[in-house]
Amino acid sequence: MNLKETVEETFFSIITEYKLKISNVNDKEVLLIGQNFTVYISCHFAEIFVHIKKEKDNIPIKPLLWAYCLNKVNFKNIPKTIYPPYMKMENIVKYNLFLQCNYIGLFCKELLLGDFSNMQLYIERSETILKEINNFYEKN
Amino acid sequence: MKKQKFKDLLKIGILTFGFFFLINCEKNNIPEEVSEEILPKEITENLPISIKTTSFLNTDIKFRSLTNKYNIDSNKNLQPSTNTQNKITTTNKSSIVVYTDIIKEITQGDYTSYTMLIESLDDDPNTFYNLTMEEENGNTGMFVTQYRTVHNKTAKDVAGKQSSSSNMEISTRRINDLQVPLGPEDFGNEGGGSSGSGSGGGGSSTTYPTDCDGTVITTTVANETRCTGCISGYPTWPSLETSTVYECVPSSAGGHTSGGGANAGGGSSAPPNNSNSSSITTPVNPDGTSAVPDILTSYLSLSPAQTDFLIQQPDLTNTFFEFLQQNNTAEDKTYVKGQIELETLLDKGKIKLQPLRGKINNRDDQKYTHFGTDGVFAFYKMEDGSTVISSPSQLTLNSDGQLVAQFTSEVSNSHYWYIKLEGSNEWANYLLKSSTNLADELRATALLSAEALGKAIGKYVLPVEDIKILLDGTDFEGQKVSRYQAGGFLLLSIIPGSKALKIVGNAADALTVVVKLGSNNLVVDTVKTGLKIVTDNNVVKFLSQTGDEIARIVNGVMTFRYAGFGGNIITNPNKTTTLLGRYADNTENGTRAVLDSKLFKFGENKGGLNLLDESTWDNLTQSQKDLLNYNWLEQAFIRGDDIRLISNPATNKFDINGALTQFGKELNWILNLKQSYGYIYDSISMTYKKL
Repeated sequence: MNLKETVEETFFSIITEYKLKISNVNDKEVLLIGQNFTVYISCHFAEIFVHIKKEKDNIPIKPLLWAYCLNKVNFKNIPKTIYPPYMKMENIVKYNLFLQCNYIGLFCKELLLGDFSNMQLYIERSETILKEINNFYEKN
Repeated sequence: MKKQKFKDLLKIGILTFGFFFLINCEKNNIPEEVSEEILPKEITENLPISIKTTSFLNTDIKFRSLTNKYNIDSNKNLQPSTNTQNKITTTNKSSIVVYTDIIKEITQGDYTSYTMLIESLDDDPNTFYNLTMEEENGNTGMFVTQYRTVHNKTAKDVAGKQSSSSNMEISTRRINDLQVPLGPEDFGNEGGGSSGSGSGGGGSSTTYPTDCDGTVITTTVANETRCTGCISGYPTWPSLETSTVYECVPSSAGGHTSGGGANAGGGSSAPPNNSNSSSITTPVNPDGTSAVPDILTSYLSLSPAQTDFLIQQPDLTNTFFEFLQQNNTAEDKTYVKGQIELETLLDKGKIKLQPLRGKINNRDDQKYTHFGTDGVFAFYKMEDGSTVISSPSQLTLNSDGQLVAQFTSEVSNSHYWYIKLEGSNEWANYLLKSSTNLADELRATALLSAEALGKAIGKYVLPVEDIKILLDGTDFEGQKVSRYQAGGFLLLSIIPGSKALKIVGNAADALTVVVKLGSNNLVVDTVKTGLKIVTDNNVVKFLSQTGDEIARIVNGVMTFRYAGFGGNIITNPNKTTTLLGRYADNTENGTRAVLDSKLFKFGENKGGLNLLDESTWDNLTQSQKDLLNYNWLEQAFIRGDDIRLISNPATNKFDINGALTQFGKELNWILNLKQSYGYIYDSISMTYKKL
């Protein structure tokens, strides 16, 4: 699987709309570079890790977690993702990328426009929400 | 053309033998009065003539004295392998070029001579020339001998066919130095002269020159014939044929004087002894039958099989020969003898390697593709192209150091290993043990370096992972090694074009670094990882290209700088530290930091870090992936690894969309595994440890 090609295909609409440049760091990591931010996309164990950063040393923002922290959506209303055992890694990666692309398009438009004003709120709430999520799914 | 020339040269050799036989028979035809008058005293007294094949390896004082006196060193060369006897130098007459491959040493009483082939003085394929230096009781002399085959056409035989016969003509010419201009005319037979024409202006013949207006110098030509039908003994020289050649030195040339080196006008000098003098020589002909194998056989006490192998491998033989000409210590001899011994064992004509895959000593880094055996020795073609020989007994190559035997043998002490690396022409001792404990092997290496390598020229190869360390005595002096040992590490550099490494003097030169890590070793390719290695007393530091410290090793314990869950990762020197975490967790830390550093292994790594290899997972299904992941984790529990969490389980077990992460699955599996294998969780070090 070529991560860069998959990202190019999946994120086509965002790349086009926000005029992002795509940069291949290595076979596990791709960058989408905008004017005021960078989207870091990496893949390991078929898990997709998508982080948005204003600058290199800033706290990385997870798109869906951004939505949770800013009360754009309640995590309990998001259907739990389950992969069938026969699903191949390659398809899991594509599916994950598709989800992440949608999360960015739905919940992170201000970040794509360079507005990181709610960053402090994200920092304050993210840890708590992550614990809630883990506790919730541990029980469910 | 070349073929014809070669045939002619072979004929010369054959005819030489035949000629001497004839001459011996004719000796009785010499008139009685002449025989009594001019035959040398030594011959008449029938002192035995001894002929020995030697070379420039000869360290005999007499030989060295003569070569110095006549400045042979500056005119010597190896005989061209093209087997040509044609003149190579372009000028018609120039200094004599001496071929040093073969030297015949003749002794009779106090007389000694050394005869060697020289570059031909003409373009005639039917001739060859020898140079002879001689000495008797402090008197010295030198002369050139021309051997010339003359083809005579005879009358038609009864069947009407034209037949022919050949004779060998021999002429000598006294000279004082190698700069004397000599040509075929100086031997009195230019333009197809015949036997007996040697009086007057130089040259000689096999018939006594009764008309000589000067001094007649007698030369005995002795010819040894190699035994071809001997049942035992090797090599054997059963017969010696002799003939006599006369050279007339005209009185106008100043007569001959005794005392060695006396000038005889036109370049002639006398034999070393006085009026009843006789020189002795023997033909060293260029028929392509090199004496080098015999020389080496004698010099190194080789077996008949080894001599036969050398005869079949002239290039290799010459390589050994040239090496010994420059290096003449006992260790050098042992080294060459060891090389010949191993080459002979691997003689491809006798050993057939069959495709067969396996691992030597069941080591993953010792995979071979071909195997062969002669019932005693085992032969392996390794995956990296190296050739390995296993011997049940110690061979010559490691006879210099008992330590080698100790550390190269298996536990049973019944096998010794030797390797020829791909791309190399040299055999080395292979420090291969059953153990996969590299620390022990490096300790053995250090001992070897201090106690054995300093005395031996032989090279040693030590396997580390999938690369091989080439240990060279010159780089491995005791003092240097002691310093490395104190620092707990060895510095290595890759040999260009090879997977072998060699020890280097300092960290700046090292492309690859082997660091002692607990009871194991960490091999770091500084080029691939982009890491810099610096040392500070007993601390080895790994720095990023920006100079940030990635990790450090003190007394075999690695501290990996980690800003994520649990902080720095500190290894257990006696165990593998298996790391569990997400690639990039919510704090953007995780296994990625370790993966990027390359300071880890996939699998068991005592004293070091172990990560799961998922590089081939693309085509697997979710359940297949889980199975591999589970097996890897269970192996860690079976080994008793320390299992360190580097992502926070409280926030990384589930992804934010509710999916159980791979790390989360591992955490679930641990719940059962820790019970099965007796583990507890240490919440201070964030590590599952075996009770």
